[in-house]
Amino acid sequence: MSARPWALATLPRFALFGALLLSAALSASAVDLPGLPPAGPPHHATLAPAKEKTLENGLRVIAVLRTGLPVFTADVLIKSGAEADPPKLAGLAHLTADILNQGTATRTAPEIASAIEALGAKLEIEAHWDAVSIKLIGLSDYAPEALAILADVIRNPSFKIEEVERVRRQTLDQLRLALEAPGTVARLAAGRAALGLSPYAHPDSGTLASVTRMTRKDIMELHHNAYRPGNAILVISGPMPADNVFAMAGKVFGDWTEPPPTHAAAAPSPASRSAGPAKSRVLLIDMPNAGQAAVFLACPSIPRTAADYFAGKVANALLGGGYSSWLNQEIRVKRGLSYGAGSGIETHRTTGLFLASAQTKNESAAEVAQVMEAQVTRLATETATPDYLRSRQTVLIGSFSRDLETNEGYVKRLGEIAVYGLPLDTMEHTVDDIGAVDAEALRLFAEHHLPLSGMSVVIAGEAKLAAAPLKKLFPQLEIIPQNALDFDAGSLRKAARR
Amino acid sequence: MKITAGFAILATALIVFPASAAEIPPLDYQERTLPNGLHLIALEDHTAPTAAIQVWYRVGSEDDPSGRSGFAHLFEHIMFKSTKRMPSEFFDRLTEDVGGENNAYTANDVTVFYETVPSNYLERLLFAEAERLTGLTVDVRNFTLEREVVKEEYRQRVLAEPYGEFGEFIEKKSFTTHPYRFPTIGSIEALDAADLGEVRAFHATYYRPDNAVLVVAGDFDPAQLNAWVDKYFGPINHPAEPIPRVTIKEPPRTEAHTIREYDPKVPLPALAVTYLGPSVSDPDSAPLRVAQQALAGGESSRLYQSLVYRQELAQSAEFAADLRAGLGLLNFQLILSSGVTVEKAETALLAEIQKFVDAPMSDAELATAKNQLLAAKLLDRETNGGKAGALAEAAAILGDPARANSDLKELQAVTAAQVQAAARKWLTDPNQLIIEYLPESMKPQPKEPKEKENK
Repeated sequence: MSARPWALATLPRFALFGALLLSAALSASAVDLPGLPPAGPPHHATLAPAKEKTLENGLRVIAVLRTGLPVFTADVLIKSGAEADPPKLAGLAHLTADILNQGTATRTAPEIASAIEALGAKLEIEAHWDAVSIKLIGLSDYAPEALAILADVIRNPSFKIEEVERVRRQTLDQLRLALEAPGTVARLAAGRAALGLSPYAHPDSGTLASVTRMTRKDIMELHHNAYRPGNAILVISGPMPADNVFAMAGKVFGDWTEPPPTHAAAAPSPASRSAGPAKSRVLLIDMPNAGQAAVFLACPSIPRTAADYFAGKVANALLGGGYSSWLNQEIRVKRGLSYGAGSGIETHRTTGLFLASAQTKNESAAEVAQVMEAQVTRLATETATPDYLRSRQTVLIGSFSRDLETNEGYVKRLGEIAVYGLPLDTMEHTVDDIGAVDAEALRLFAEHHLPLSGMSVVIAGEAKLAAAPLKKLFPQLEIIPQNALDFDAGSLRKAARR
Repeated sequence: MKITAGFAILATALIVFPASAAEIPPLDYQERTLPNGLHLIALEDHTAPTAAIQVWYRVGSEDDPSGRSGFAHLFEHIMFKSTKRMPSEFFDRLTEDVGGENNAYTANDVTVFYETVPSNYLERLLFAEAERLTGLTVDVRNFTLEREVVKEEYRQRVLAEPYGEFGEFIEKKSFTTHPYRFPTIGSIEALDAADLGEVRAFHATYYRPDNAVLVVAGDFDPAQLNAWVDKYFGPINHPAEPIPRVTIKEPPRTEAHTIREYDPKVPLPALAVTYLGPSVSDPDSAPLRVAQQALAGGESSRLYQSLVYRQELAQSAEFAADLRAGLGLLNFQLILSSGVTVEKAETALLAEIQKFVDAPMSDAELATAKNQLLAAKLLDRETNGGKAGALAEAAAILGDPARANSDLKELQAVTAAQVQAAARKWLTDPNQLIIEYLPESMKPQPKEPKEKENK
């Protein structure tokens, strides 16, 4: 619930899309008005440096010293995420992660929760596409005690059958709920439509069928093969000097050994599976009770380590990153069609996914899709003004800099760099790399990675109101009733019953 | 704050003493009130080269004009439109375009506008905040477009979320008389009824310097800040008329009551149990925040352990001590697990509430709750925006920024007996409202009356 108990019903002016200051390394924006005072000279921030050490068992430890408040964040990243889910077991990485803290060899689930929370800490476990994050946020005076519990849930989960079954039931109920929200349904269908049968195309939290199907053995095997020191990174930010961090890590993780893998590869690697589909689609998922339609554009995109990564980030910032991006300007500010429109590029280990999205009343779904397509086209055909380009680069720099105000922000940024094997000094040139993207790089990126012809359009909403205008705009429109939807199938349709 | 002494692991239970709030460095702020009534609070801190600016106006959805539910929130959106000297969306030019951020929100009692910018842009934001406090020049077209945006916001929050209307329903039924019964987001009809004349009147009535708290936290020179505030805010006059305040009192509840409602959008039944509570400035406020933490904060909390984990009756179990300026709402909410009847979940939830009233919480529960509350406050203070928010909240809602510091100590001093006394006082049978919120498919065919009495 809300941190401000009396502000439970607070309504922000807009919802934030993903991330939105070293100093503004780029020059001040060109706005002016009568009476508007000039900007002063910029003050520069300093980046807290990261130190690292690899323990003998292969665990990589990265430490950032930030003095000030007695709080810290520690994140263990297991470098195998939802991308490694076997084809019939969508959601296996998620379910495994969710059961980690539900009992170990020496602690029950309630004991783990009580012990962590008594220390003023919280444990957040989340399976991402390329890594599972087991994150602890807490009071630094209790760091040694809290890290011992963190290590226990990673190393010694018992996966008791009654806990597996309980978490499975809970997960199924959560899926039932999520699948009633048009935003969730459209997002999941968009991933499938754009990426086909690629390892990044399935619902990462699983489907009702796949979650029902997975066994305790599947879970234990994944844990055995993926949760090992050589496949893990620990990132810590807080008021503890690096040597203390390394000593604490050694104490709780030093005797973590690498057992021989059960079979096949040590860490599951999905590289052998097929990539995305060739053909884009236009889909309307009919949800008769949807009070609003969710509209998505989607296409395959670049991996995190691509040479044009920053060009992609800046291109996205122009198109749909932040309040003043083209998508939000055109859809919300100029037309009043949505509470917020935006886009993002999810960059993974071997591929990526571009997504643009907005929610709108069912009747205007077609108009929103049309405006979205026009904005995507602009990127390839129109040269952004230097002022606009500079302001969008500054949005990215601002977002990066604000992350450096908190331990969690440091851990997030460094963890991402480390998971993808990028050098830690990526942090130091991020501001320059963003600033170096020019109009030509943007044009090339748009041409190669955001072609309108490769863009799938996915809408979840009430067909009675949304379908007619959509059909006019997209003659190839496929309509799938909500109850005929199958996220496990590349076609997204349930097989016909015999 | 070292706790090594007395810190022991006994079998499996961990005994922890609450960390001491005395060692948390207080927020060392300056304050003054301008002749026009504007309350200025300044916190100098050069840790990061940023400045956070917050303006809190003491006007919220409780002040919506009659028949215009949602108006204060719609007005908040209009505050980003044109003024005499600024075009619409100019705040985005001054924040987003230079690497900063801005947003605003509307609550029951306050409307809050906030920005964080690289500190060399601070003066520009003071200019801009003073400019929109002076007056708006929004035209019909921009007003109408923004109203469409707010209607989409309503659809997104309320209609597109399976349990969106459940939350609104709780507000509408929990208060009978006080304007808190009108949801902050309003309704499509009430939004459509609003016009530009009402926007001007609302600004003139509530957006005045003596109804505002301005907080600046971060990297600035205090003398320079004072000069800038005098320059931009000093010339703004406040009207002679007093600021209208809500004087309507919510009558106490006199008997337990159960309401049953059906909604085609919800996949599983939900349940709310609400009690009227004290104002946020009541001495029971700190004990009730500890109660909130112990009952529903985290997986070690009572409701999670009992209803979600052990009995598997609910997939989520929440409790909010939602204390507002006028009065509070103590609000228990469950979304049930598949196959669980609302009767069974209700019996179990009411038993947990009764247990909390009947016996004091354990020392371990109390220590955990305090450590959690302390950690949350500390994490808020990592950023200039968080520090500014803590001071502004204390000043605008509790009437004194010093409460941001004393509050921490007050929370740490709460005893189990105080928590139990507050629970006994407020979680009573006559003060209880039960809302059973069921999928439409569960509606019995020969229709029963919509509301039925209990007890």
